[in-house]
Amino acid sequence: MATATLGTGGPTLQASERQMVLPTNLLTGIVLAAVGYYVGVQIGNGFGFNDGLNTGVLLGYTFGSVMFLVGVGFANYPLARLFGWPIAPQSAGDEYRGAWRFLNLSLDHKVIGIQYLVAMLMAMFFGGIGAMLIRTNLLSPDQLVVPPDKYLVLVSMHSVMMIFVASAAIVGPFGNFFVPYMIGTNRMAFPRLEALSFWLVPPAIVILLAAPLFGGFPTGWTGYAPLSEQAGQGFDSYIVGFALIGTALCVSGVNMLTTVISLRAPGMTWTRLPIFVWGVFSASILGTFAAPILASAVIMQGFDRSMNTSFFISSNGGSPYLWENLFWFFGHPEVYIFILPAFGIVMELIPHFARKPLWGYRTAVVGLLGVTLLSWFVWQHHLFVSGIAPALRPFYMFSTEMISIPTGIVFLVAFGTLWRAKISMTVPMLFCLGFLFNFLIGGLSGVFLSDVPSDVTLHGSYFSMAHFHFTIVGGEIFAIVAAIYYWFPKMTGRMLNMTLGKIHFWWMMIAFNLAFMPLFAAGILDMPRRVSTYAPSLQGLNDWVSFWAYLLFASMLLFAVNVIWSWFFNPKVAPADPWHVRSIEWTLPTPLPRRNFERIPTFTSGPYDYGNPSPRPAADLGSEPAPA
Amino acid sequence: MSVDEPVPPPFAHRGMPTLTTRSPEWEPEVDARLARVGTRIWIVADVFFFAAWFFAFFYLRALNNNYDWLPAGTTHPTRAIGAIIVLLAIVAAGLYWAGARAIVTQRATARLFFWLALLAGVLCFVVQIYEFKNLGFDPQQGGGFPSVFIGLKGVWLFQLTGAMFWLATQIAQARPLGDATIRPKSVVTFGNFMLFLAAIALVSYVVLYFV
Ligand SMILES: [Cu+2]
Repeated sequence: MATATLGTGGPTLQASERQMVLPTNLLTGIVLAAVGYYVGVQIGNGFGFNDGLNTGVLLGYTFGSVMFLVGVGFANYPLARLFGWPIAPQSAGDEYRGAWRFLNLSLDHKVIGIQYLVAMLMAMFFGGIGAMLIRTNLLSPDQLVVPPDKYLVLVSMHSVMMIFVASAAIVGPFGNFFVPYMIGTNRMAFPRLEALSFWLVPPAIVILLAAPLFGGFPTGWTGYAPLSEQAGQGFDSYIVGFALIGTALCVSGVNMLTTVISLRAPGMTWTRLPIFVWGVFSASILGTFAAPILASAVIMQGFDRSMNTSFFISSNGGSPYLWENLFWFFGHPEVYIFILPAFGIVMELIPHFARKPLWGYRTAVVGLLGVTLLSWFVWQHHLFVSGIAPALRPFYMFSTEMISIPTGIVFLVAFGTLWRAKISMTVPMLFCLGFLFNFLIGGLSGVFLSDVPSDVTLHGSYFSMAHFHFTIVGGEIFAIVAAIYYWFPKMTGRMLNMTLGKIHFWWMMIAFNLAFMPLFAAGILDMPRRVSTYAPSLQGLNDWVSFWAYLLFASMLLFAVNVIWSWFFNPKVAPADPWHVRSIEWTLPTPLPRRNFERIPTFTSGPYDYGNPSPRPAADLGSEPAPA
Repeated sequence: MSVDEPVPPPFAHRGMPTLTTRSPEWEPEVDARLARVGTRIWIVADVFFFAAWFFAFFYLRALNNNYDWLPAGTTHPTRAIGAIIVLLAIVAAGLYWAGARAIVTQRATARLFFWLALLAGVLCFVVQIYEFKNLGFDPQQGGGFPSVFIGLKGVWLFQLTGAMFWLATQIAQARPLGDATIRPKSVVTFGNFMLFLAAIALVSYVVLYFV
């Protein structure tokens, strides 16, 4: 029996030999999820509401998700507390070694980061298949692959899946993995919440993928009432899926904010915080406080569809505008949850590969926080043509256009850093430069949509679709790919093949731009979003787009091959610091030791002090134990 | 202080707390500080959560679509029952708060207060269910007010249930070498959340019964 002293001079505790009846692991989770789903459906249908059997599906998904979490092991800690068993602070010591730990509940932020990375890449693959089916359908002006109603289902699946990915694909893998290193701590504030934020994602994806079994849903990712009220049981996937993802965003944000606020090492002042951490931090502010609004809104949807309340039904005293306001009050901060960490990645990587200090560091932080603040005051730009009071439009137009100022700061900082630099054109750097090009187009096209007169024409057309694909795919996904090339050696101990990486970059960059640039034209030519047919005169343009979209998908397949081959079939271990950069995670050995730091480091200078002839090390890691 | 590589105990389950650590970052003091910061952030997030429901209240009330904010024949539920619910929530929070203050010096008193707080919370739950059963209107018939009433009180009740569960675990851990005894500051922190729930109950009461 293991004994240990808790704290200094604290009471001696003995580990409990008592344990839960069921072994908690992924398999138990799946079995319990199936049981929970069945029980939920039975109970829900037992109420006998006049609800189109939505209560059963909603409760089935909810019970299934909860029981999944119980089976994976999330009930162990609360139950042990309830039974009065000895509780001690969680250490990293209860982890299994080996690959099995990636398939089970782990409280190690490194394991969680990798779990997130794999889950996100898989979800991106599902969403990408949806995109390919959409483009295949649009090869011909009349429906080709799927009938119009099923086309809407396809668009909805693609959009919601990709929104799930975009919400978590930076903070999840890279935030969780690297923020503790960058701020110099051995722990996260709330490891269980961190793990929970990951384990909510697989059920959300499975529930979303189950939607077509119930006929899917026709609402796109916006879930507008009254369409959502009329939709069949497929829409229940939207409700529970977004409730799970919203909860994940919120608990992940609470953990991340508390960690960065409270666990920074000595010397890691707010003005030395790596800019990537600032990006994660500002996105976490938005995630923590915007996601609860989404949770409330989808719960209202659930009540409407199960208990027949009427939050969003105007004939019964509700209002679809209530949904639209709540949704976009969450939804606009949500798009900055996507992009702020991407800004963080790009501004983090550029100084390292330009070998120059980040130009205007404090201005960059102000830019990130400015976006964070302003993004709460712009949401009605999504409703310009929904019949809102015309007097409201100028304010939201103005506030939206204001956001281009802090966003512009980010560009200023990036270009200021690149100015007269000896840029080393590594693959991560190429993707960062690609980001700057694509996001510039995405951002500038957004100005047209924030402008009421042009939005009246462009709203709901392929112009806005091209706009947000330039920001999310050309922006966020490019940043994610840059981050994978950059951090993969530290995360997995293997270098990605950089020749393939260069091919991947040019292939992806060209295919992406040639696929999405013409869609601005399609939008100006009045091609509406989410419609399976279009004017026959636009077929040439659409076929061109589909052709390059296939090639874009193929470039990602090349990337997948690179990742899988390098990770699992390349025996060569990556050097500890392949990029020769100052950031602290690269001063640690590869593979990373289980315990982040033998001794909590003391930071002595910022992470971007390049160009100084005799720079101090970024941190004093110390080799001998800290003085008592 | 020397830092040992943690040794896994023989019978630990993943996700189960273990007692293997001597590393400084897992000291109770650190945990208490994190709990304090984290709880504050959580409460602000929860403010946003409830704000959506209050927004729904005032928005639908102002719109009064189809003159169906208050469907014909619907009356506000009895204020007395609502008041009992609020009072019980406040009492539960107050008792917990008093118990948390006493946990270091008088553990037996603290446990007594915790038990009483749990009792008040459970009573609160029961009265709320009673109210749901005797509303005087049927939310299934629609209407803005009935929808918001059920929704707001429902999500609040859900959070109260979670809080009562946590309170029960605090009771179980308020014994020698229990977690609540080792980390008394974390116990105090949870009282903030109880107070927050009571405050939401009070605001909801004013809005739902008097506006
Ligand atoms: Cu927006």
